[in-house]
Amino acid sequence: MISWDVLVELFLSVGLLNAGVRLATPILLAALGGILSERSGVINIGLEGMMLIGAFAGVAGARAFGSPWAGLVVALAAGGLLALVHAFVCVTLGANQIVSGVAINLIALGLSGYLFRVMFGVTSEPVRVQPFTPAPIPGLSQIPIVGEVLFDQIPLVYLALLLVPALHWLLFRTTWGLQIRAVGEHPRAADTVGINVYRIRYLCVVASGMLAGAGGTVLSLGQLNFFMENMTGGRGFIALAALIFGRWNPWGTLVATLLFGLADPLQLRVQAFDLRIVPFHLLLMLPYVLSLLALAGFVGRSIAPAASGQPYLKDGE
Amino acid sequence: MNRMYKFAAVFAAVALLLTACGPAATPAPTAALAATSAPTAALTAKPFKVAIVLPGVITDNGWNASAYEGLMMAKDQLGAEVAYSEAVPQTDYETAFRDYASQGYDLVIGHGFEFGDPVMKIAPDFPNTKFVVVNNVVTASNVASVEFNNEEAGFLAGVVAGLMTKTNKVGGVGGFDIASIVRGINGFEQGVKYVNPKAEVFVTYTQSWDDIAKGKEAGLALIDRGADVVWEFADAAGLGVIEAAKEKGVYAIASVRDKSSAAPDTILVSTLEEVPPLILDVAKTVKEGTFEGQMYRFGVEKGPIRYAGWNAVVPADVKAKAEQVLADIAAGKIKIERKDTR
Repeated sequence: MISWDVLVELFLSVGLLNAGVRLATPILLAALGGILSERSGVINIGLEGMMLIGAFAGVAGARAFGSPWAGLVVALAAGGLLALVHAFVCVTLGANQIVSGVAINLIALGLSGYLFRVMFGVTSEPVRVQPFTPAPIPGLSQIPIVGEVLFDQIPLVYLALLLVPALHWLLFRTTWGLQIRAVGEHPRAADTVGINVYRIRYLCVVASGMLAGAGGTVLSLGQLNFFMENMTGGRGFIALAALIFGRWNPWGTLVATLLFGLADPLQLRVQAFDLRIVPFHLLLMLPYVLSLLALAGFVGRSIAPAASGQPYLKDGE
Repeated sequence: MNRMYKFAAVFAAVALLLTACGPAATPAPTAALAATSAPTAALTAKPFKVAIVLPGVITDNGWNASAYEGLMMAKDQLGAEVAYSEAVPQTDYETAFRDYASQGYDLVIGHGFEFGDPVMKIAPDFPNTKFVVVNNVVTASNVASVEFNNEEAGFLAGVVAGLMTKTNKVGGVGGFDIASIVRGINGFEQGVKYVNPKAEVFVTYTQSWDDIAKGKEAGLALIDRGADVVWEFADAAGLGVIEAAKEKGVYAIASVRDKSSAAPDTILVSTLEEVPPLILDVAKTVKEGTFEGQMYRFGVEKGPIRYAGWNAVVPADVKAKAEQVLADIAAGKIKIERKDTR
């Protein structure tokens, strides 16, 4: 019924792998941001909203300044700004981080749609901007399969991939990283040795917003060249799932995002190839099921930073 | 505190799952963006009020945009006071209709198959409000349905795809695999086979109306498989399909609206489903008191489904053949099977 040729064609297709890397990138950027935020002790459910605002700001910036790079800068600022709100509510006010994150998502959904219409009106066709174009790396992109999959992408894909070792180095090899982790594990102890808990949390949350904003830009300016309301479609939540699956570790998270990135192109191809072996609805659930398994401890123990989710009040307790 | 985290994580996971399953499970505050505007000259004592509940946003350049256009026509030509709710999440379907009805709206339109059940549930409570569901078959004394023969639109697209393909492989991208969309996709397959029995048809559903990036991947998946003409029947996500075709240098066929200006070189033709005049017509019947709770079917025969925006690259004989098929459907010479299941 199902020939081997079709299966081989499906799984070894450059298109599938290329799509996997391409789709993993926005999730990866947001998830790396999430790691930073959670390692410092602030849960960031608002990644979805920060991505969405980044997707919008990227298009608005690219439209205003005529370059996707300018769009990226505007998106970084917008994502960072929204994250600043989250940081203020969670760190300074010590409010519930989940509630704040959910609120951030709702704000971003309404705000991006509203601003888009204010700027461009209800148009009869998409407002197009100059997108990022693939920049094949000379030499490396000539390697069969691997070259096409990894080295024939837009520049933001390379940047995101480079950020993985960079963040790992920052977190586990530098004093800053030690401070971030100390604040996330035991803020009072960190405070007593003179680490400014608030400053570190603020910096990490804002950085996470900027990274999520960049992730949104990959979506609107890398994969497409326009903005559509709610275009992130839950990718920020997938990023959260990825960082849990990756156990708050950049390398693990990279693996998770690549896996999750493959889920969509795979299920779309399973449909296109008319393989009725697996209902594609089940494949759509895959990232979430994997995350739940990771949480339940099937992929080794999953330990969140001890103080993640805990507001720290200097004079409290 | 670890428990707190676990609770949060499970909460997040549940939220994720909902996002994955529901068409519009993401809470959309845009639903609250209902805009009301009074007619410039309200001559009658009691204003005539029309509201539309939409599954997506009016900036989608497709299904929802065309409903918005129709609503504006009702406002301008009938002096109606109009309102709309966008991207209404599944959990709010009933509330949305109930709100408008209890505010005294004369006509409340549910713009999609998915609104059939909520409307039937609340309609008996509001005998003075008329309800219309687009692309469903429900009826009651104050409920009418307007249905597009999506299978005809699909057939028309299939004919062009079948004639234009060089690889003998074509693809169709549907939004959700709900009855109205599946019928269109099945019509597409029949259209392709009608003119080109050798051609293979591949199909994917995006399970989203507005995730354009996913729409693009759906298009790329079909093109990867060898399709050189793709038809999008997926609302805003369909724009992504057109982008995929553009990027890969193959042809696309658009749906619902004439989208040729979105990608002039890529789009061969659009299979139009002209929504605005229908909304205007149904509003007129309510205003004039001639409304009947019945089923209205629209297709090629009555004109709202047709070809629009032919690309110059389409050879004259292909165009002639396609228009001939259109005429034959209208005359009842071609019978298209209405099949709701995959």
